[in-house]
Amino acid sequence: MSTSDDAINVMLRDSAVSLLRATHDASRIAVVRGSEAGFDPEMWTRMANAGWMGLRVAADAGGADLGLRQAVVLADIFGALLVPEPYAEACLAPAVFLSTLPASPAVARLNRLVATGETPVAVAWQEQIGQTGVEPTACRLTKTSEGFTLAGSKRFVCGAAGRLIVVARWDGELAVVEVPSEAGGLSRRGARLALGGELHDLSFADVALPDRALLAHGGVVEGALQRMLDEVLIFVAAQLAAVGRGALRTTIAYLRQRSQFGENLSRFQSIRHRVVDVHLQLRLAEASWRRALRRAELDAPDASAAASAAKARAADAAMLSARSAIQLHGAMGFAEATGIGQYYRAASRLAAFFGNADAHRRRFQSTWTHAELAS
Amino acid sequence: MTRSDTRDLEALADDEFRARLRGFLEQHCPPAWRRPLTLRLRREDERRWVHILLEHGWRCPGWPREWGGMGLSVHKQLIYREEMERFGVARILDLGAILLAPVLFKYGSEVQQRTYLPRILDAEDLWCQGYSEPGSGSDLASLRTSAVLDGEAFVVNGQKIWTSHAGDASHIFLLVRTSMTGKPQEGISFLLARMDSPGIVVRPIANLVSDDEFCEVFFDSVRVPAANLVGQLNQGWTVAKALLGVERISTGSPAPARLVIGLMEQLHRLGWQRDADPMLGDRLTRLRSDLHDLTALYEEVCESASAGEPFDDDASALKLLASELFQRAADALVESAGELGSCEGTLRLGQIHAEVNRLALLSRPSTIYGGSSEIQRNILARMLIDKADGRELLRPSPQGPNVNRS
Repeated sequence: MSTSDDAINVMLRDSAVSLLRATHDASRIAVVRGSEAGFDPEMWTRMANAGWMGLRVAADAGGADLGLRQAVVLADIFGALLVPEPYAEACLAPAVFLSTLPASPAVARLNRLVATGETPVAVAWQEQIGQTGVEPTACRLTKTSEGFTLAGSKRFVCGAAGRLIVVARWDGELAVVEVPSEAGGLSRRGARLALGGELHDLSFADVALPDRALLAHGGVVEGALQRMLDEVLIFVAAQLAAVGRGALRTTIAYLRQRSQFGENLSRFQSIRHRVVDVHLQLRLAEASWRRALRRAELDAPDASAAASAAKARAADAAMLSARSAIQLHGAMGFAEATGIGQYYRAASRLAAFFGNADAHRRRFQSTWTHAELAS
Repeated sequence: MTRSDTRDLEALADDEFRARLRGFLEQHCPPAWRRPLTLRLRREDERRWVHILLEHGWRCPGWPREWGGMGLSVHKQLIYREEMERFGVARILDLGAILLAPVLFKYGSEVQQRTYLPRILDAEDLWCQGYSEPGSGSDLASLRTSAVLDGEAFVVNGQKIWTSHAGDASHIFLLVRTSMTGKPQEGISFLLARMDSPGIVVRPIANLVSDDEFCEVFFDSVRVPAANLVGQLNQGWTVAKALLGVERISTGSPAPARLVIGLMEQLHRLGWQRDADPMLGDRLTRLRSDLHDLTALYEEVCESASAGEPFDDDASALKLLASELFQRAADALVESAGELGSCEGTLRLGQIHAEVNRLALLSRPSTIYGGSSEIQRNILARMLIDKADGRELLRPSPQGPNVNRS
């Protein structure tokens, strides 16, 4: 990492911490939890004004043109402070996906939409549970005299997204189209998320799209999707590791001030060792995502394997930390008002996002090269 | 390649350095000694391998050049270790070079350095480590083997245990009690003794893999020259902690786990138990991902060590993770062998030959020696809990249950 990277990251971290300390606390998390959208529009705008929405967007589209190495600074802070806004799925994912597509006025327009934070934008690419690649894509694009029609379904899409970027199959090859969320023929079925907001299953019943809705097609799409996935996985892994660290810190602080049987809880060896075991998994998660970041920057052949390994590890580590936090707080851990459960909710949401730990261990296994072990 | 060439080795790009070492190993490591993990060379075999390393300029990578070592940076030392593990050359205990030499470099008198270092370098002397006692294992500071000054010599009485290769060694370095006042750590001294000293009796202890590697060592009024005190009287606890940076990470190496997981990989690829044991693939995936992440952490800690940054807490984390993964992998290998898993010797599983049971048993001490897993967890707990700065990252909710209400 260069010195200028260091300097940018320090500035980004300091400004993010300062902005969030002034505008974010546990009670805001509770408000978002109860909201329909699953995020606070004022905070979304604040994030855009701070340049975070445009962080991975090209400069000519109004972005900061920075890299994943800068984005993970935000991941770490969002995780530590339990910022509930769906930054990874409704800002980072579309920004990275768009950056891998051929340039066009439509792509540029979408980039500006992302960078200004005008509306959350979601990439709709999954069609079944545990999907971590382009298969299956049964969603079908058909050419018409006026443009296209889109038919099929997509799953697990951010309910608050005002604009959708959909991966579909067109005449045997993959294609990417832009779909407005109020398009005719588009219906949704939503499920509430514990963090707030909804996860939507989308149904496209011959949704009519203009020609300009086509953003890309052909061989470029699969690679673009994998690259988006790898980046977002690394970001989310960093965020998960930070959620886990936050849960552990909070727990340690509690243990140090709680006494029973005439002894401070933090002195009991079984409790101390449990804390250590959580730390060990978090340490692995941190090392794993940092390695994945380096491999992604080098465009190394094992970049996807490393990204999936990091996601799987961080998901498990954060869940372990969150569960342990509840346990080690005793009954307090199960009471809503103490806020311990929020780590669990955040960990759960991120752990299951874009493929859970099992799905990513499978992806890791299938993309891993045997050369590594044999060498 | 002579010793004078080793200055150039440091300057080589990593890939070239690796290639040179591999070339040396391919050419000069006797084929029978290419048995990773399960073979440890002793006595004349250990000497012979040391001579081969010395002759070709690959002896003592971490020693200063002025004492005959390669003087490599931490970075290159770690690569050296990695290549040795990858090639699978049988291990040597080499405690003189690994544990005693750093002590002599830092605390040894000129006479002690000039007397002992050259003979460690060429393995003329073979050293064993007299630390643990029947009553002092994890709680080493409680040790009771005593050394009382009588004229020009210390008179040593007591017993050491778990002393590896005591039956092969010519010398022993000892922690002895020289004072009963103050904290236990403050009354310990570091002594060097010849194993042929009158009053020393060695009794080997059979271990679970039928080796007699470790021993009891009895001291019955053994006279040890006072000049063999290393460092100050009662400074032994501090003296013993001098350890070359790389060695503190060595117990965290993923290599043993990698070896076993590699064996399972081969089994799986060749279709062993594929239909009979559908869970083997899943178990292997988990092990592989554990190995991947452990390696990521190991590389990160090696980077810190190379940069001269502190890494003690991570050394404890690594030891825990590496040893426990080695055990999980060895246990999985036993399970994958089904009924054969209870058999000894080299098993034939499909087309793979593996010392399944021996590997599983050899994995057991890894969580016991070098600071047991329980001790490592205690060390990390102190860092995480007792030294925590207690700052809250997230401002808590304004209302919460009143915990003080009974």
